[in-house]
Amino acid sequence: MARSRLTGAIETMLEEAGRFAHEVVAPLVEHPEQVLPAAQLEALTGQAAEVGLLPAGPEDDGLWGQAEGRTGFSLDALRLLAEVNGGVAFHLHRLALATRLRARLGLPGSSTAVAVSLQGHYGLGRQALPRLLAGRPLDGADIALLTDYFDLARHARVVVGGPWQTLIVAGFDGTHILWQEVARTQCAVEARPHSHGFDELQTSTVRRTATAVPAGTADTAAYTEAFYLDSLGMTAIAAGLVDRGLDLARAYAGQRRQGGVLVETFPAVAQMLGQISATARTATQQLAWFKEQDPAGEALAGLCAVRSTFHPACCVATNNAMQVFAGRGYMQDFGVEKLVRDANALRVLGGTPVELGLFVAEWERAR
Amino acid sequence: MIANGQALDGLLAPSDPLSTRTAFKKLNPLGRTVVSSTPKTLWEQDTAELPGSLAKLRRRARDFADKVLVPAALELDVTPQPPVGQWNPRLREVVSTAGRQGFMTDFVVPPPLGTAVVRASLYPVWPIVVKIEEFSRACGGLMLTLMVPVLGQCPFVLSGDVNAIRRFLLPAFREIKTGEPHPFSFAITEPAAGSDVEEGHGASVYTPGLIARRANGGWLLRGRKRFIGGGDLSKTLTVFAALDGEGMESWTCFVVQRGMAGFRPVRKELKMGMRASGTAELEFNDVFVPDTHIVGGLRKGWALNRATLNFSRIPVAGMGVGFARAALEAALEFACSTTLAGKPLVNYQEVQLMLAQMVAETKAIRAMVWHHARTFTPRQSVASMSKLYCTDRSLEVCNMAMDLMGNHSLLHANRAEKAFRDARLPIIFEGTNQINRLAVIEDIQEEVLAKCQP
Repeated sequence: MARSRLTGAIETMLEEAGRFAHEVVAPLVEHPEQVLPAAQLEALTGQAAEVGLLPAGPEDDGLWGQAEGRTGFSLDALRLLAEVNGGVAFHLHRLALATRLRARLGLPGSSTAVAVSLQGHYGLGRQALPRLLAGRPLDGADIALLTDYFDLARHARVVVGGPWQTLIVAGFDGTHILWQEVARTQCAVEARPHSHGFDELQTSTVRRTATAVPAGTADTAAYTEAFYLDSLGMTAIAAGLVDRGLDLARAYAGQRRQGGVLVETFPAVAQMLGQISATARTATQQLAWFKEQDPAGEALAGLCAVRSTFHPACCVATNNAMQVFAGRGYMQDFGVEKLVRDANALRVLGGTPVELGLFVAEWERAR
Repeated sequence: MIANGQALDGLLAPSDPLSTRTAFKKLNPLGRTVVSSTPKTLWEQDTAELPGSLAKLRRRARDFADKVLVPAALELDVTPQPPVGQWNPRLREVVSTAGRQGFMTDFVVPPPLGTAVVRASLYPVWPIVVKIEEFSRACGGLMLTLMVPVLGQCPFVLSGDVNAIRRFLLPAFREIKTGEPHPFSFAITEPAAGSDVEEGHGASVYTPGLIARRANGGWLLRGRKRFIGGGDLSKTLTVFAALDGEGMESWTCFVVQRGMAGFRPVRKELKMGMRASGTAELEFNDVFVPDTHIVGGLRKGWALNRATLNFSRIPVAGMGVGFARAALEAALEFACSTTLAGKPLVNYQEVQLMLAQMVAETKAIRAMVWHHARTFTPRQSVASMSKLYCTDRSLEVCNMAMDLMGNHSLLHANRAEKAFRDARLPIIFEGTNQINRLAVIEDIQEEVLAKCQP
């Protein structure tokens, strides 16, 4: 009985999320060649809190909340949102992740204009990061690598998100992951306009300039959890992009005639539609499995393994959607090329396929 | 070149006794002539494979690309296109400079009328692919602006109509050499069409989007063309239209010139990449084209169109090589300038593996393009297989570059994402790669059918 009440509650929340996506977000992004203004993105953030996607107050629980069933809800909601707009989905995902991190780590920040930076300046910390997260001993080279990798004062990092005033940053104190929430004013922030994908968001490179910063909170397990949830969210968002690609490509192939015949009947097109659908269906199965897992080490390794092949497949799928449209697909107003760019962005945010593969291999090596 | 005594992690230093650089010096003279141990850049290695005249062209094209195209590339990629028919001043300057330096008058016509590298032993497509790689590697949009005119000029040359060459090509070349741009365009695609322009079944149920009706002394063109590269600025366009009441077999190539009454570019597209170049929709509202402006004769347009595509698909494959090289060079620069734990990334084996794969892929598609450009006569299967294979692999090299650079690849300034966006278009245009696969089979039908006999 308790289970069915929970299911009903989740379904209701998902209906709300769907309404938000289709009735609030969709009209604002119906012209994909026009970038959603920052002010509208900010307004959407407020409205997302009203429908339960972000916590409206300290007692509330939005995406990535701790209540039972919230992981599944988060994945389904992010996938729904990404089907309408990947950038908005990514923004809300990262805001919710920031909220969860603040709560877990007891960070004092309260600004809703917050961004999260989990990765260091390049890659996934090679073999050293999986060793750290698996609780294995680190040698001197590992420590040196992680120290350099997470050193925000030394190396600029790429940060993608909505407008932000504070940044929750993962660092390394020589033994543990060290968390800090640094103010924008404590950083050199270089805006990077015209970046690839997520046109609605701001991409910048960030380096810390201030020497006096909060001491921070050491918590490596929190990093494992955050890395897992971030990866899971990006997987769901990528799946939403593929869903959208499939909808657009199928609709176009079902009305476009070539040689008097609908192109959906040509094997050349059907092959592409089939690959897109296979990717979407695979995502459904993978996400269903991961939503039941605890956000801990083994699940993280499994998710990294899945992402190392899933994101390239999503890139192929969105490219196939574009190819079904042929020349029209290359034009911004048809919306498919944006799916390609957003899928590319998700492929390289949070670890590239090569880096994810190395992470998994090292995780399993001494298991 | 790496200084003596230094080595990347995991690799032998050139000065190491076991290195081929050192060990091969101990071979006898005969041995030394059949193996190479002299350090050379990738570009130098490839250039050494070219005949002297093309090596010189390659050097000149790279120099031009580095000095003129690269500095303008990122700016023109993000600057909104000016209104239809207007030049971006910086783009105009690039085109003007290219013209003055002989890069826009080098299609087939030798000096003094043109600037083509003409040798009896060289098929004319080879110089084009050498040049197109260098330009594509600098900027897809600028390359397209500079190379689309060749496409527009193809029907003149392939028609063998010396009179048309004399009347339309040579005056334009004279203008271009003075620094005055004179773009050409090739207009086949129609609003309701796409790849079915060349798909066999499509021709049988074709509804013309541009129709030519007979008028006194010429023809009246009515209809539209879409996705026409450079069409908004072109002064001379080779435009394909069906004759009134007839199908695609009646296609005829008409020369339309800017300023003709009833002709106007109506809009430009917002594209994913190649954004320095305008792609236009053209309106023909009873444009009167005199009989003297027909290229190759009435109803010869379909053959001219197909011949042009057979000719141009090798250069399109060459674009793929250029984009792959752009991505490779961006990744290599990043791997050498970014450090992790105090070492440039290029010291890490996974980075070396990715770079090596990119080098190999780029070299392989260049080998295919140069081989077919050297031996090629416009054959459909060869043109199509080169185009589809090289452009597909080119995008994969761009993916590898983005993977190597990680989230830094998202940054516009790092150029890898631009190479991806530019590389994506040749997989679609000049016939999607799916259509080109079918074109390969179509061209070997006799051989295939013979095997199907019981």
